[in-house]
Formats: sequence, structure tokens, C-alpha cells
Amino acid sequence: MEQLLLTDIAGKQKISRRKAEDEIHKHIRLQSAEELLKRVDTGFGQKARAPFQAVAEGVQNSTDAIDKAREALLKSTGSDDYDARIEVSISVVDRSRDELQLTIQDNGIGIPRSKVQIIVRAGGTGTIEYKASRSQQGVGWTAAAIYASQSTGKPLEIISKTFSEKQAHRHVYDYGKGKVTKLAEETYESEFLKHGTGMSINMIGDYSRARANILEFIKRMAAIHPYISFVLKENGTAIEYPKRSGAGIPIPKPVPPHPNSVDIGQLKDMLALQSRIRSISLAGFLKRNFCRIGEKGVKDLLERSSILLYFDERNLFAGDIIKRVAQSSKVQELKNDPSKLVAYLKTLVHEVEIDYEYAAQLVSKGKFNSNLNIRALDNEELKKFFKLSGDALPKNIFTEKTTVNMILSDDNKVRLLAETLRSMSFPSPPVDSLMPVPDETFVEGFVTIYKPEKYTYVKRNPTSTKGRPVQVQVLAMYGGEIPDNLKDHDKLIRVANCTPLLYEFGSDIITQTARDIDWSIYKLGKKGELPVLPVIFVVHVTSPQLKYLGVAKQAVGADDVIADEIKLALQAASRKLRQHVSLMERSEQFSKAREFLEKHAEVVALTLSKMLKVKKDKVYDLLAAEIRKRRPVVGEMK
Amino acid sequence: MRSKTIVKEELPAKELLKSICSIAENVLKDIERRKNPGFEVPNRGAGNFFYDEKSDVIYLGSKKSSRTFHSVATTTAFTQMLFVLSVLQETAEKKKHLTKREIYYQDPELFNKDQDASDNLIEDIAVTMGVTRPCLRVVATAKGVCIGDLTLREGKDKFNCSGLGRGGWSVSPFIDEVDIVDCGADYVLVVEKDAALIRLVEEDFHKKNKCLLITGKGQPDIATRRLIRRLNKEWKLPVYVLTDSDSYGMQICSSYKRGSISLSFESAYLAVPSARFLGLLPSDLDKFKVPKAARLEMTEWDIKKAQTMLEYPWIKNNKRWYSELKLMIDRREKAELQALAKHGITFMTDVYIPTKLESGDWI
Repeated sequence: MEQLLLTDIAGKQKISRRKAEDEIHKHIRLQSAEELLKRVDTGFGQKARAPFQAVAEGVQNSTDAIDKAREALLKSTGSDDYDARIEVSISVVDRSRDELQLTIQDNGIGIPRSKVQIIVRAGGTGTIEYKASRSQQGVGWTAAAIYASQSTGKPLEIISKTFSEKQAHRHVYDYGKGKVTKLAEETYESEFLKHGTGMSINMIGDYSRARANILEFIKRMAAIHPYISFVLKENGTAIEYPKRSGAGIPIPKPVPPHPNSVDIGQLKDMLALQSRIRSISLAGFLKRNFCRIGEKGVKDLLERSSILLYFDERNLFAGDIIKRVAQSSKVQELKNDPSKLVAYLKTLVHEVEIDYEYAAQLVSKGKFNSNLNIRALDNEELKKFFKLSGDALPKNIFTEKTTVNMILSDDNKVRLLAETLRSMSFPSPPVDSLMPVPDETFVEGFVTIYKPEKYTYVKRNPTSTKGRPVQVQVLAMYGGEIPDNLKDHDKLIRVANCTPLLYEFGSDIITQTARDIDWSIYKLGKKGELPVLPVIFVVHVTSPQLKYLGVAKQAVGADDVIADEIKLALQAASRKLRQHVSLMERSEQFSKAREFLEKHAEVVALTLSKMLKVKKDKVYDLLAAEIRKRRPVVGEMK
Repeated sequence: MRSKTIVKEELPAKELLKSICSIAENVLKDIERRKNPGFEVPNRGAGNFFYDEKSDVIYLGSKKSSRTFHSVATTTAFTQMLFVLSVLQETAEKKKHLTKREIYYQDPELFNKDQDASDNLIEDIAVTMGVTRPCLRVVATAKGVCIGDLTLREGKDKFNCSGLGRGGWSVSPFIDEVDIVDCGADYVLVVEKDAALIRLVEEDFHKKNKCLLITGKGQPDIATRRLIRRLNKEWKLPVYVLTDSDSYGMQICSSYKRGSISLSFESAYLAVPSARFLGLLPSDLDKFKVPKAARLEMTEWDIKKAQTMLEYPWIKNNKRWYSELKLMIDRREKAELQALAKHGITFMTDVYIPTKLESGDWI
């Protein structure tokens, strides 16, 4: 069989079937993350954008490193204030081929010598903690290094030192040939910072075209981070945004994942991780690895899992049935007519007999709105709804004594546990993992740079989406030094986890939400586009593991809850602004009216003085005072 | 229930001054008390008249609107009104009269170079003070003409209106200062236009028929209407009106008889409710066999105007006026008095008018 030769019509040399198959399968091999990165859009596709992307990635890492240094400082000394500084140096090495050298140096926490080899790998710096951070995927800088290597063949140089390390260390890594190769690792003898990291790459890029966005990025970073000095050195010439305040962004605390947000794969990884350490009981595992699960949660979960198993065994899609009832508009119509409702429910749910009277009761109590799913019903309600008596339930598949290893050894159990976690209602996740910019910092940072005549600020309360907390802050700035002819890009400053976004403007959920607002209500413009008045909105979205549209992290991905929060915040800020806009309009009208009235007051005063032999000036002054009182202009109002 | 506003017909200069002063003082008082000075001016528009069915006269209604200084919409009107008051005050102090045009030229800039604005303000002040315009010592140029056996005295001049040539006497703007000394006529014949008057004078109609011929030359001015009213009231002369057979002619006749909406506040002093509309009635066209060729087709504007008039209570509730106007609209025909000349140029004086008067064929 293996030796079977194929007849080739063209008469070319024939090879064995095995060889042919081998050739076909040759490309199948383990692909490194670095290789994969070459195939996705990391923002390095265009020469005009690549320098920006590299600066953005590097500065985000540096800012995170500074926040980590602050955290270490806070934990060891009680204060987190120090002279944090990030320096970006860009110099043109070879003008003929647009080769640049980019160095980004910070006095952040530094990378321990032994961890550098992990950091340099794609995903190496990515946080696996559930807290908001700027560089959450850990691929950005690696993508920059890969691009640099591809475009110039030159390696990445890292010099770093942590506070506790005695000496700085230098590392050189090459990203050619689809893998990461260490070229050098040595003690760095020259003088270096007490702690921090410097990274340097050579890349091809059109700096003159990327420059505007780089400047804007650093300017906005400086606005958000007044506790860090930002320096941009271009061929030796420095632009500096000095540190303006000691108040940093609160350091987010890691919060374990919310039980509603995990899928099977994630759960399996967590179980495996726990198993490697020690196989503990299910209750211990849940309480340790998830937020918002307590004693009661565990108890409910044990019963819940057997209810779900019961449904499984009968091929009953309980969740679908509940959704069907919740989303039926006919059901809502009949809400207040129990007998008709019961009759209708019988036709709506016919594959299984449920407790129609009880279902009708829940509906008329208003429990069933269109967003309802199985989570809204607790175990007792669920059992009653589906007419389950205790005897009918299968024996609890999970008990107090079930261990991590027992679950891990049975894929069905893993699946059932994941489904059960997702089918239950837990309190919203805690918000400590967010990194909102402190109100004063947010306002002052932008207002001192953009100098508007009026601003309004709105901070939404944290909420959650898909198990992750999310919070939105909006600053609206109007008039003053804000020009009339702003381009759309400049009307909306997008910030995600304290990082300004500059590309992929149109596809961002922030932009799309803003375009969807009817600005005419606020006298700022119209629906379907951004405001036409001289107004800039700064929108900050913070959330751990925020979903971006791509690896380049320049656009926040679509999410209904986030969109709603952005919309409400933009509207609230606009409402406040509208009062000011109306005030300005009225003030303008008033000052025109004043001029008009004062002109007439002169005639009236003159006429009355002639008619009644009174002093003209006295009459005029009285009238003029009253004119001003009745039509106050800005500056005279309380 | 709407009520009518009654105006004074006479106001001596002294009282006028007092009245103007008190208005100005009120304005000053408001200014001193930091209030919004203003005037309450009765509306003279179409929405504010009162038709008294019993007397068949259009009076001014009771609606008022305020013109205050601090409301931008009325600032100009307020200022202008105060200014006009000061001009009236000065005139009254000097015991002179002023024409409307003279008032306008006191400060054309203030009236935005529009004499209508100052003219209207004079009416507004008169109506606000509850007096007729002549009381304010403002005269409008009169354009009416009167011919016939009427002896008048104005100042030191005494004259008879039949001895002033074929042009007749130009009605004095100071009509209230003219004394009617004697009258040898039996009735007054008012004609709409000059052309008809010339024909009547040519034929010595006034002499042959012992009547006074008067024309207001189109829409009559106040002095002419006042003269006719005085002849009717003081000398008990019946008044007959001859106009063209069209909506405009009927409107003119109606304003002689009942007053007009825009000057409704002076109706009591100008209207002649007993005036009779002699012709040319729409029904006369057939009755006197006016040839088709001499009749004109009504324009859109004519018809629209006629239809509006049809809704006026003084026409709607007057069967004969209503049926004549309706006939006009139905036929869509109008005719000038001169159309009668198709039967010969003296037809009007020799046949038409005498026939109508003898048979009492008026409305």
C-alpha cells in the first residue's frame, strides 16, 4: 500500500504517497506566539503609524511599571509619591531608509534579571490578574520588537534594575527567524537609575507623519498622569511635560474573576492550576478563585448543579423556555389577565408541563422582563416553575467532599460546573480593580491644556458587564481656546484604562455611541455626527480585561453595557453644558438688547426732560441701571 | 361681552396739556420706582371692533395691548409714542395745529423713515387718551370737495360753496373750526370719485336739484366725513351715496355710513348711519340695462375682498346689502358709474339718479 505509485499523465517523476503526504503536511508545526503576531494587525502595518504604535506600547508599559513602583513604595513606606519619569527618545539613524532608533526609559519598578527572558516573549508581561491595567495583553512591545527586527534586522536591547537588585543588567534579544534568541545577558557597568527599565529598538518608520499623533499621545498621557514627568526627545531636542501633582491614579487591586464570566476553558485552566498546587475541596476552590462566592453560594451551587443535570438528562432547555416566556410581547400584554395568560403559556410552553399558574404569578409580579434569564430564578423558584419535587432530582453530583481532582478527571463535571456557575445569580463584582482617573486630576489635566471657557464633568457609578466591572468618566470642555473648526478626531478624546487612543477612531464604540446621540437636544449639533460647536469630550472607560477591537488596542470593542454608560455620561455632561451654552446665547442676546435699549433710553430721557423739566441724565441713569438689572450678562450673574 | 370705547369729541388745549402731562408723569414715576414704564393702547386692528347693530355703526372694542419700554418688542413703539406726545405737548402749548407729516419730520430717523409709523402713533395716542384726533390738534390734509348752496365761515372768511367755480370748495382740514352759516340744499349727494363729480357739476345737477355735491376722492378723509356728518346732524340733510358697483365702492359707502374698522374709535364722530346707498347697485346693472360690453369681470382680489365683506356682521345681517353683494359675487361682474354713459352722457343725471330718488330705490 505504502509503495503504491501514482500514474502521472505528464510523465513527471513520481514520488511515493507517503512522501507526497509528508510534503503536504510539512507546514504543520508548532507556531510560536511571535510568529503568530506577524500575522495579525498589531498596528505596525504602515510606516506612518509604526513609530506611534511603538511609542504607545512602550509608554504604556512604562506607565504600568511606574504604578507598580508606586505600589511597592506604598506597601513599604506608606506613600506612593516619587519623581516618576518617562523619557522617549527618537532619533533618525538613517534618513535615506527612514531608520529610527527608539528608546523608552522609565524609573518604574524594573524587571528582575531572571524575569527578563519571560518578559521578552509574547504574552510575557500580560497581566493575568483581574484588574485594570494599560498593557493588559502583554504583546504590544513584543510586536514592536518583532517589527523592528523584521524591518532593520537589529535586536532589542533592555537595561533594567529593580530597587533591591545591586546592579543593573543588560540584555539583547533577537526576534529574527520566527523565534526569540538571547544574544547577550550581562551586568551593566555604567551608571543607571535606582530602579527602572530602558528599552531600545531600531525600526523603519515615517517619523514626520507619525509625529503629530506621537505628540498628541504624550500630551494626553501627561494630562491623565500629572504625577509623571513625560519627556520626548527628538534628535536631542526635548519637549517636556513636568510632573504637576503628587496624586497618582489609585492602584487597582486584583479581583478574582466573577463566577458569571468564566467559560469552560478558563475554568479548566483554573482547576488545573489549583490541582498542581494541591487538590482541595470544591468549596475551597470556589471561594479562593472567584469573587462573590460565599458559604451560601456554594450550598446553592450544589443543588443548582443537580437541577441542571436533571434538565440535561431530559434534554430540556430550561434557559430557553424562560427566555421564551420573558421575551414574548403577548405575555406582557396579558400580564394582568391571569386566566388568559395561563392559557397562552400552555401554548407557548408545550414540550414540558410547567407550573403555569406559578409562571403566570411570576409574570404578573413583574419578575419577567425581556432581559430575564435563568439567573433571575433561584433554586426554589426554578424547581417550582418546572414542577420539580425533591425526589425527582438526581443525586447531587457535587457534594461538600468533591475535590478539584475529581472534577478535573471528568470533562462532564467541568462542563456542568461551568454551566452552573453561569446559571446562578451572584452579586456584582467589586470595583477595586478599576483605575478611574481621580476627578481633580482628570479635570485639571485636560482643562489646563485645552483651556476651555467652561467644562462639565460626569463620573458614572461603576457597573458590570460580563462579570467585569466597568466605569466611565466624561469631561466636556466648551469654548475658550477650543477652536471652532475642530476635526472629528479632536472632538472626542478616547481614553481606555488611562491610555489615550488615537487610531481606529470610527470603529470605536465610544465614537459610535457619540455619533448616535441627538446633539440637538443639547444645542451642540445634530444626530448622526459629532457636535458642531467648539466642544471636546474626553471619555475614559476603565475595566479589567477591557475588550479592544485589535491587538493594537486603539479602539474599544462593542459592548452594550459600556455603550450605555458612555451614552448616559455624555448626555449628562451635555445637559450641564447646555445650561452654559443657553446662558451664553442669552448673554449675547442680552448685551445686544442692552445696546438697543440704551439707545432708546437716551431718547426717552431727553423727551421726558423736555416734557417735565427734569434732569435728563438722572432719568437716563435710572433707566440704564434697570436695563442692566433686567438683562444680566455673563460675569454679572450670581 | 364686548363693550365699546367712547371717545370725547372735543378737548380744549388746556385739558389736552394736562392729559399729556399726566401720562408723562406716570412714565417718570414708573422709571423712578424701577418699574417697566408703558402705555396701554387699545387695539385698532381687525380683531377689536364692536358693531352696534341697533345704530348700525362700527365702534372700537375694549381690547388693549401694552407697549412697555423694557420689552424689546415694544421699546421702539413706546419711545416713539412718548416722543410724539412731547411734540403734541409743544403744539398745544403754542396753540397751533400740526399736520401728520410735520410730526413725522420732527425725527424721521426715530420713525425708521416711515411716515406710516408716526401716522399710526397719532391714532394710537388719540385712542389711548380717548379723544378724536382733531382734539390732539393734528390735522390730516383733506382732499374732499364740496359744491352747492352752503354758506360757511372759517375764521374771518365767509363764503358760499356754489360760488367758487367748477372746482368747488376744498374741504378744510380744520373742519371743526368751520361754522355752517346757512344751507339752501335739500340733500347731500356723495360721489365716490372726481370723475362722477365733474359730470354732475357739468350738468348743473346741484343747482337743478337743490343738493350739495361732495366727493372724498376715493377712501374719504376724516374732514370730509366729518363735514357730511355735521350736515346730516346739524342740518338734518339726508345723505345719498353714489359709488362704482364693485367691492371697493361698497366698502367706501359703508365707511361713510358706519365707520371703518381702522378708525373705529372715531366712528361716533364721523359715521352717518342714515346714509343711503343709492347706487350703482349690482342689481342696477340689469335694471338699467347696462350693456355687457360696459361691465367688467371681477378680479381675484375683488372677489376675495367681496367675500370677506360678506362675513362682516353689518353686511351679513343686512338683507339688502347682503343680497346685492352676493349678486355681485355670483355674477362676477363689476361696473363703474361711467358705464351708464353708454346710454348717453346725461343718462346718469337725467334718468338714473332722478329715477332712483323718486322710487326710493336705495339700500
